Amino acid sequence: MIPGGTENARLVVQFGIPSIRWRRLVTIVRTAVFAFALSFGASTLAAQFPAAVIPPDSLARLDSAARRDSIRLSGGELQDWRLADSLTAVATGEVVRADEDSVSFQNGSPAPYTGSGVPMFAIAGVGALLAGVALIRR
Amino acid sequence: MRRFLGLLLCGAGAALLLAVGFDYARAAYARKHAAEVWKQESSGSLASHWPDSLKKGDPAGRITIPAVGLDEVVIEGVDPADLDIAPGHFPGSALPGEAGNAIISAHRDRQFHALQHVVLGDTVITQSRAGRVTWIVVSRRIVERGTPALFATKDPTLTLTTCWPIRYVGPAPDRLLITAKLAGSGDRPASARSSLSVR
Repeated sequence: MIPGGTENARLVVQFGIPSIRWRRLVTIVRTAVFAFALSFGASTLAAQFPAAVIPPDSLARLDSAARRDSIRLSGGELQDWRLADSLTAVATGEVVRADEDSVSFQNGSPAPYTGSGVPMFAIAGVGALLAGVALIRR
Repeated sequence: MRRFLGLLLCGAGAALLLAVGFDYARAAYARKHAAEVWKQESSGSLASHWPDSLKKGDPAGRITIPAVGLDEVVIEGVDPADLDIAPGHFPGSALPGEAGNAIISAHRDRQFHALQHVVLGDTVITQSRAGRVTWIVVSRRIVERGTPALFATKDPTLTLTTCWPIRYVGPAPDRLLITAKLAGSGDRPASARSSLSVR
């Protein structure tokens, strides 16, 4: 028995067993982190990790006018269409080499950069949390 | 020491998640605000309420692809800050329904996630100061990032772009381009004159 100490303090010193107070703190932090992670919501997580989870369909929220106008033609019905996408317009104008980061459209612009670093931050955050919890629990 | 390191990692992880959460909360608020502004502007006659020129971040229109459940308000600008909020209209390109190529871009892990399911013949409906226009998807291409792929057109054309592959962790190497032409041989369908409604 350590003079002036408690049974928990003795266990920590002798066997490296965390005190009850310390365990409670870890439990509180872990619960708070878990609750925070849950608060993101399934749809947000799905949107952030498209490699693993697919967002649910949202057809129900479409207005009736949009549904009425929605059609899906077969390939045969498209034969009469002039397949004049933007690629075929090259010959009609002067092409300018533009940067991907350009924020103004020019004839010949590449598709704008649509990447986002936020998912990587989320993954890094979850990874750091898991690693931290693993270190604490060891 | 090990526990201190663990706590440090937990703190860093929580801080990162807080930053991500803040980013999404901010984007959700801005998106809601843009939708409200759009609703106000489109509630009356488009011609009388629409500003002559769009500023960065202004609602530029609305895009709906019923076949894949996509329904979003489009804002002006394709900066990362703009795209975090909503699909962006490429400044300098035509507005949907006007003569020329109207280009709309968005993140593959946000609003344009469903673009992977769009096929030739699908209907796209846009609303802007040019009115309510129905389009038919006529082209679906994948190009390398940085490749000159967007060109001016004489006819009204709608081009949607996002990163490709959709399911790719990290900076995507390619871009998905979906091109649509006006439905009904260039004429707007009768439904194009129906009243606007915003969810």
